[in-house]
Amino acid sequence: MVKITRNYKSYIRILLLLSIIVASMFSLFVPVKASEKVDRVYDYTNTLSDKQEQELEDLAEKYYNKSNYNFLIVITDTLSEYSYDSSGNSDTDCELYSVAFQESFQETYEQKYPNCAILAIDIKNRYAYVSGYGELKTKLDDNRYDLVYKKIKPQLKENNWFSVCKNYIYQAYNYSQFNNGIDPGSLFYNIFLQIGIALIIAGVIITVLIINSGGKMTVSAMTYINENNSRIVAQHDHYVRTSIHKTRRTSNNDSDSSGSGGSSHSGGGGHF
Amino acid sequence: MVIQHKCPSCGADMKFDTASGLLHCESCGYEENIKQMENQAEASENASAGSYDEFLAKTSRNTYSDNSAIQYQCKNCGAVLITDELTTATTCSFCDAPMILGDRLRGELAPSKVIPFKISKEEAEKAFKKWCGKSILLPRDFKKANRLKSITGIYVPFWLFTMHTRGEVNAECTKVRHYSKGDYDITETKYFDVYRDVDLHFDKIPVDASIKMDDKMMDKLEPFNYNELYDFNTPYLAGYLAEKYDYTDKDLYPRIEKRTENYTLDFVRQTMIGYDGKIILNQNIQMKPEDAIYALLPIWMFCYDYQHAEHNFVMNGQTGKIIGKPPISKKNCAAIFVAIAIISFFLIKLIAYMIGGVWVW
Repeated sequence: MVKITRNYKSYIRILLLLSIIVASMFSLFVPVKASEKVDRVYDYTNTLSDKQEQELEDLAEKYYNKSNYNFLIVITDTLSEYSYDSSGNSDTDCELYSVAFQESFQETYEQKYPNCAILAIDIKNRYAYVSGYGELKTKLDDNRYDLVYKKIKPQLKENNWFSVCKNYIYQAYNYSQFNNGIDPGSLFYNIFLQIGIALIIAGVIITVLIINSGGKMTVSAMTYINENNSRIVAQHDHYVRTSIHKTRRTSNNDSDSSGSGGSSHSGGGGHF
Repeated sequence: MVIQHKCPSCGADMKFDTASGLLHCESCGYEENIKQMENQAEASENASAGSYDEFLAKTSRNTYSDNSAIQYQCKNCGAVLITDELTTATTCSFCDAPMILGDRLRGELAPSKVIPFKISKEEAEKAFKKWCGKSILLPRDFKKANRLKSITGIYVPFWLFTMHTRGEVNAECTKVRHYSKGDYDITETKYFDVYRDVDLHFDKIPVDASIKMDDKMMDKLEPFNYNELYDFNTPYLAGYLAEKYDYTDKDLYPRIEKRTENYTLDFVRQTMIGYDGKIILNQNIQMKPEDAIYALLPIWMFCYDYQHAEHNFVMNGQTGKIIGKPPISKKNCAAIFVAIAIISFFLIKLIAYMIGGVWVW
C-alpha cells in the first residue's frame, strides 16, 4: 500500500514536470510580448466617429509596418492653448503646434519612433499644416509637403475630414517613396502629359509609316555628285555677335505658405 | 520595220534573259552576247549622245506624227500589231513573239544607253507578294496579292542629265550653348556670317520622259546602278515593252533645274559644319546642262485590282525597289496607333519609375 502511494506521488511529480516542459515549449510559439500599441490619430474635436478613427489607426499602422514611418494626424480647435507664439498669430501656431506635438509624441514613446509626419488640422481657423521629422524630414522636403497639402486641399474645403486623413496617409507615404532629389510634382509625373506624349509618339510613328508605306526617296545630292570634279571655290565663316538669354530658375512652390528652412522639420500647408 | 531576233540554230524567237544578261533561246537554249551584236535598228547611224548642242538639235524635233500611220506586221503569224504611237517594243498579241519596232528607235529617237532588266518576271512577282505581306498597314486580303491583274516589264524612257552648277550662298548660322550660372539658366547664341561659293558637277541625274509615268513615283525608284548602263542595242528589248520619249530633254528643263538647285543647296548646307541653325539669306545659283543622255531604264509595273479600284505599283527592274500607293487599312492603323501609344505610355512610366523610384498612377 505504501509502495503504491509512493508511486502515485511520483506519477504526479512526473506529470507536473511534463506539463511544465510542454507549457514552456508552447511558450516558444507565443509572442513574448505583443507589439506596442501606438496611437497615431488624435482627434480632439470629435469630428471623426470612433469607427473612422479606428479605420485610420489601422491604415496608419499598415503603412508603419510597410515603411517604418509614423503618419500622425491631429485635429484640434483649441490651438491657442498650445501656442508657443505670444503674438497670437494663429498661422504659425499650427506649425509650432505640430513641432510641440511631435516632441510630446517622442516623449510618450521614449524616442522610439523618430521618423514621423504630422497632419495638423485647425478646424476653427481653417488651417492645415503637414510636417515631417527624422527621416521624413529629408524624404519629404518642403516641396513634397506642399504637394501632399495640394492633394488634400479639395477635401479640406469640403470638410470631408475622414477622406482628408485617409488621403494624407496615402499621399505622404507615396511621396516619401520617391528617390531624393526628384520633384514628384514636375510635369514629367503628370499623367495627362504622359498620355499626351505617348499619343504624340504614336501619332508621329503612324504618320511616318503611312507616308513611307508606298516607298520613300533614298537619293540625295551625294548620290549624283561627281566628287572629282566638284569643289568649294571660296568660303568664309565670320563671327558676328553673341546674344545671351537669361531665365531665372523657378522653384515649384506656390502654396499659401511653406515650412521653415533649416529648422527641426520640413513641411507645408495653408488656409483652406 | 519590225525586228525579231531569231535563234540561228533553231529559228525560234529569242528573249533577253535577266539572269545571264544574254539573248536566250527558250526552245534550244542557244545564247548570244548582246554586246557583240550589231545594232539592227541603227544600222550605220551613230547612237552616241555627242556634244550637248548637237544633241539638242537632234532631239528637239518631234517626229511622232510620221510614225502614227505605219502598220506593223508580225513576221511569225502575220497579224497586224495594235500599238500606240509611243511603243517601241512589245509582243505580238496573237503569237506572243517579241517584236521591236526598229524605225522608232532610229535617228533622233535612238536611245544611247540602256540598263537591262536584272529581275525576271517570276522574281518580280515573288518580291511584290513578299513586299505586300510585310507591310503592317495593308488590309489582310490585299496582302495575299492574289488579285494581281498584270505584271508588265517596260523600258521607260529617261533623260540622264549631267549638270554643272556654280552657286554662291550667304547664310546666317548659329551655335547655341546652354548652361546655368547662379540662379539663372543661360542660353548663349553665337551668330556667324557664312559664305560659300561652290562649283559642282552632278552626273546622270535621271528624269523620266514618259507622260504616262507618275513623276514622283519615278523619282522614288532611284537610284539606278550606272555600272550596268550599257550602249543601247535592240536585243535588250526582246520580250519587254518599251516606249519612246514624250518629253524632249528641253521639256524637262524646269524639273531638272529645280532638282539641281535643291541638290546644290543640300551640298552647301553640308559644308556648313558645326552649326545648330542654318538660315540661307540669299543665293545665286547658275546652272548649265552639260549632257543629256537618252536612256531606257527597266521598270516592272504591277496592276492590282482591289475593291473595284486599280492600284498601280512600280518596281525598279534593276534593284527591286518597289514604289506605289497601297490601300491603307484604317483598322490596322488604329490598332497600331493604340498599341504604340500604350507601349510608349508604359515606357514613359518605366522611365519615371527608374528615375523616381515609385510607380505613380
